[in-house]
Amino acid sequence: MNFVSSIFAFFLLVVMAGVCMLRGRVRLMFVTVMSFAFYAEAYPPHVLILVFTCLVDFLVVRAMSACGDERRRRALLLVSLGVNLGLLGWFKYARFLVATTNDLAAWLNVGVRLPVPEVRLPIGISFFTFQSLSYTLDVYRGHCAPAKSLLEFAFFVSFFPQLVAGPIVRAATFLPQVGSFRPFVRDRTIRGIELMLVGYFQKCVVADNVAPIVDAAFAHQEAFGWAAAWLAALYFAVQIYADFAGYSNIARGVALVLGFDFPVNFRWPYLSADIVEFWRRWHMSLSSWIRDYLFLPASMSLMRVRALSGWVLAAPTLATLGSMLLCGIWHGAALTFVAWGLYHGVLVSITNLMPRRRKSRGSRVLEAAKQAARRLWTFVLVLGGWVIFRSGSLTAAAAHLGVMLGRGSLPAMSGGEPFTGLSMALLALAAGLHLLTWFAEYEPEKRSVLVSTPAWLRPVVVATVALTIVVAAGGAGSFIYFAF
Amino acid sequence: MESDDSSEAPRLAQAAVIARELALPLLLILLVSSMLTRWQYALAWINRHRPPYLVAAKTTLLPHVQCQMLNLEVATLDPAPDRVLVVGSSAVVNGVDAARITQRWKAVGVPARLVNFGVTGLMSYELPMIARHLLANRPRAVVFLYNTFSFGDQIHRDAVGTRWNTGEALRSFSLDALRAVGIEGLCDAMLGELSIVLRLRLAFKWVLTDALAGRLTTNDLAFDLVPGSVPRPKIRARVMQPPLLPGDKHYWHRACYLESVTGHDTIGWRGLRRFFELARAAGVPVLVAPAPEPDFAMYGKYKQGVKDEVVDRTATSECRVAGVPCIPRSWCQDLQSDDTLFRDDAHLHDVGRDLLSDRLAELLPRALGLGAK
Repeated sequence: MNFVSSIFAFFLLVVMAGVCMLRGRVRLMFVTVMSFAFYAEAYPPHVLILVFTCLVDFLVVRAMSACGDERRRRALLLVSLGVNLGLLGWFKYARFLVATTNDLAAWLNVGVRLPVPEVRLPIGISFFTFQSLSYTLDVYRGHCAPAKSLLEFAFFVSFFPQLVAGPIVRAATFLPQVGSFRPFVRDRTIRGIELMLVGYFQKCVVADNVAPIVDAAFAHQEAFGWAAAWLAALYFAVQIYADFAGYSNIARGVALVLGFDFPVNFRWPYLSADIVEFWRRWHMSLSSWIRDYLFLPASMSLMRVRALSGWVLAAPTLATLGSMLLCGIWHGAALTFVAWGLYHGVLVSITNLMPRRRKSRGSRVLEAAKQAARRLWTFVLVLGGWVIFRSGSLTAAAAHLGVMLGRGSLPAMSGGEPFTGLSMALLALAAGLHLLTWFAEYEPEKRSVLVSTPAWLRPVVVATVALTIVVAAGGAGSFIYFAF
Repeated sequence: MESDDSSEAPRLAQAAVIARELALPLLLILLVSSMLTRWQYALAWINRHRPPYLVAAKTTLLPHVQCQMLNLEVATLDPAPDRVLVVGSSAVVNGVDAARITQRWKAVGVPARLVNFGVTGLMSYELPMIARHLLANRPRAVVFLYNTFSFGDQIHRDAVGTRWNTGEALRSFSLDALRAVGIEGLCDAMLGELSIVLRLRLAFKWVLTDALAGRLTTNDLAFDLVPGSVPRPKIRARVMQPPLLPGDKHYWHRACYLESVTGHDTIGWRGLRRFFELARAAGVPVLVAPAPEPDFAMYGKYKQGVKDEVVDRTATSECRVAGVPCIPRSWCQDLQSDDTLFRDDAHLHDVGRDLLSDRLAELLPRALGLGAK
């Protein structure tokens, strides 16, 4: 189910009514059933995958908790990893792998042609798989107590606000909240509404209005001039941020109204001073997941490899490259995502290898200018990544990047349509709001505008903003991250 | 699992938070929407600045249909009792020149004014759904110009968000018909019914965007297709095209033609009967007549095999039962056989529009007993 749909409005009303009226296990059961219904709306048979994931991980962890033998615990963990990654691999990557193998075989003149499986991608499979996996891993490491019941665990995995596009919530922070379910607390509800409004504004007004511009621009990638190539990258940067951060904010807002705290997922990523900082601000729940469950274990393991013992930085560098490569593949089964992951892996590695910046002794103005230059440079690097991410093929991405760097095509502005004055205004609005909220350190859950608004005025403000969003919204499209 | 409910607020306190923080803003939105539907000046201003057809239909037909409905909302607020409304599909929007007819009536002293209430793709099941527009302020009469696809058993999925009435839908539609709309479609429909801002959002957005871009222009054109923009068509070759088959995404339209002929208990025929009831209850006379459709449409992929006379026979019989006058097709038969009067399978060209309008100007006063002063 899409947050930007009329059906979700009715769904949310029913959920809220139920949560208000019911108590205890019945309420938990009600929300879980509604969450499964939320997931089933897209394609009902895929609910079985969700049910299966819940059952396997719950039973594995239960068996793990009852067992003292480390080897058996490890075997159980491998079962969970195998099942989860197997499902993810089959549904998300089987087609890509077989097609790539066939291409490779054809290129090598090998007379083998494997049948390409027609698999429909279950929405959000990457999100709930990672969420469920983190539970097994945390319990195995002793970082988290097992869920008290299957119902509690199913509630955690399927809770509808984060089910299809995150944020990826950890069991250690979520399960304790299930035990103290406190919905509709006044201040938290107001903050939740504010988060939802911010999210809907980002998604409907910014992302959905920018989407047709991006689609039109990338459909004519081969005809780009220098300025058009930069603008297309810039618009996509705005779209993907507004789309994904918008979804996260709506999810966090809904959860907060229902009494649950979700982690912050974005914190002005485009104003990062280096690429490492970018990954600390962009899709934070995924990057921290990758750090904790991929990068750190991989680094530790690589440090024990003798061949690498002579070079101190080899292990973390290889771990970074591997983690970022997997992060790219997590986003989708295409060579562009692989390249995007590697691109960021290389950038993060280089940043880590560079000497740490010393505190400047120069004037404050000079330091601010340097900082601004660093932020701008980081943003430019991120834009390069988005071009790879959004392009239909590596060839198209390379050509696009080439034009951005001044090679090939026309050196002058040749964008014309779709880069109209109005679309430029939209871009300026998005950039202006991004900067303004950064300067004001505006975060609804901490510095809520609505909470400090007089009670009599609040409904008017909410209604006005909501009406503005409805009228100014673009064509309701699906969320980009539903595909991941 | 035991949940720690001890510190949770009581239900009443939670309900109060929901009411104040969530329900109140929603009620305000509904209130503003409701006020807007009655605020003639504001709606008329927005309507005057709505985009012309070719601009609005550039991406999808939806903003264009919303503009038509906006035009209808404004017309609904007109309290004048001398209005004669002509309702139908885009064949009416583009085939009836209301200003020309009114002018002719004025010249001969007919005390009435014609208003074009046509909307793209309007089916007869939608008549009861937009009855609140059609019968508001009790017009002098409502004239329904039907097409041979008007009485099908299909719900127009794309139209439910802009013209819907849940009460009428539950009354007339079978479960299968509702299922075809889908839960999401029904939710769209109900939200659209609740608020004009949601119902006509794209039309409002278009005007707002034009205003922000400083390119607001007035649009006084009553019909979609700009007059004189296309040269007069030639005689068409009578070559049969293969009919659309079930499974084609446009089959929906052909199904409507077929069902209008074969079924008598379709949602289309039921909608017509229901509208007769509502009009009778409101004391508004109704007249039914076929809209001219070119003979060459019979060779097209939609109408192929559907005979006008079968639909006409059922329409006449339905009207007779309800005591509603029905004009036979002979009133426009000669127009139908002249290919050069039509732009395409459904819409008249400028010359055709003038001819049809002149004919309506003569026919309606007699058929409705409008009489000269």
